[in-house]
Amino acid sequence: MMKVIDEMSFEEAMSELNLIVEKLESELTLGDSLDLFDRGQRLLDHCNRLIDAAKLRLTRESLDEREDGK
Amino acid sequence: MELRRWSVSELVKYIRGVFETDFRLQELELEGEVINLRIPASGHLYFNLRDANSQIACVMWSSERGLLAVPPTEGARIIATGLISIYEKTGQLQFYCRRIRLLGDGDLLYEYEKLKQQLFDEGVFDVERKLPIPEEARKVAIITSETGAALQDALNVFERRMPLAEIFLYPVLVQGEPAAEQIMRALAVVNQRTDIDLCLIVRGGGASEDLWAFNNPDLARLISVSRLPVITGIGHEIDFTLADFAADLRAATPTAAAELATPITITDYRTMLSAIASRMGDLVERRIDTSGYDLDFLKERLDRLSPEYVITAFQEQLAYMKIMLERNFQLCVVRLDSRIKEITGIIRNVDPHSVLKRGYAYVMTPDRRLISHAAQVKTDERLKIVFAASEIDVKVEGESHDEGN
Repeated sequence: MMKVIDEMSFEEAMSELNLIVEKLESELTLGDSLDLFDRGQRLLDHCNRLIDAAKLRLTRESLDEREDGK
Repeated sequence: MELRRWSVSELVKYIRGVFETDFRLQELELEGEVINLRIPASGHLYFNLRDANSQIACVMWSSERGLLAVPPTEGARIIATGLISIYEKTGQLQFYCRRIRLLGDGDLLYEYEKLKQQLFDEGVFDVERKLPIPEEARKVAIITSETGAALQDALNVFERRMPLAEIFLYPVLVQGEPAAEQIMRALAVVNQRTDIDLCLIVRGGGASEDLWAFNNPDLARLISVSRLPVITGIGHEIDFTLADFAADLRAATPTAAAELATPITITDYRTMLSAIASRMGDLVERRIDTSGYDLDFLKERLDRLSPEYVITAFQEQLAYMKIMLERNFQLCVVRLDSRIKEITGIIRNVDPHSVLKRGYAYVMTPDRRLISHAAQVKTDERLKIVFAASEIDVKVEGESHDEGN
């Protein structure tokens, strides 16, 4: 079962893209090639969207709180 | 007597030659107190050594400093090994240090060198212990002062190079008594997390005493056994702390540490994505091209199975058969015709009338019996002679002359 693209992280989408290219390089039926190409296109769009929207996230961790929790 | 007139550079060069040919000045130890210490951005050490009565300018090139992390402090008593020469540009006499040894306990540099040797012997700095730095670290812990410029420098680099990253800040003191303890606790906590890819320990520049927390031997030991890869970026290019030696990767500054933490940037990703896009396009295009042949072949096969094709084939066969049939029929007719003519000829040849036409005649009795022998008739008997188109009644007068005649 393939993952829903919109829910994929950049890394997941990227690694599936590399897998798709690898598969496309092997012997495939035309139908499978076109299906993979279509999914690849959508993964590419997703990746580009993620990069364009990327914003560095910063979380401040408190050492004291962690110790209190123990 | 004429005095030799020198140019300044000739004279300075000559004096330099005098010093440099005196072997006693080319390898010596010089003991004194460090004063007027200067370390410009070049990393070279400039200071004076003095005793009760005199002083001399000293220099130690940054290349000679090597792994000498903490420079000697103002007022430290040292033994320097080196040579005497002249700096030609200023004509100044200088002592060029190759090695510096500290005299006495309590001095930071002395302490530092002692600890460094100890940790080295323990294997804390072993290259085999160093972990590879991940190329795509996404979750990065930064241990530093919350208020320092170092944090902002590092964050700026991450924001610019890899905004997909997530930073977890562990605020600690980076100088003073509790600093080493806090940094160690933070590193221990970070190491317990399973979601962190990489840890940065950074601090902006400062006096060597200010960086002393990073020469804590326990901190160095903890860094060397860290499960997570550690990049240090402490002080400036010239500062080498024990933490730096223990780290998996030492960066010159906090900014450099963040850069080393992001070897792959989003610009690289954009390039990769467009490369993938064109590669995919190429592959599919090629696949479509090769399947062009397959398609033609399949279409031909399919066409052959279609009713239309079958009907057409039958029609063609029918048309062929029709042609063949017509041709054969005509042939038969021709053959029959000639046969008929042949038979007609034969029949015509046996028709007695055709013989009569050539002038023959035959004889019959009045009741139309054919006479073929004279003996069949008697004298005075009436007979008929039949010609081709007519006949005549006649009467026999003579007697028959038989065969015996």
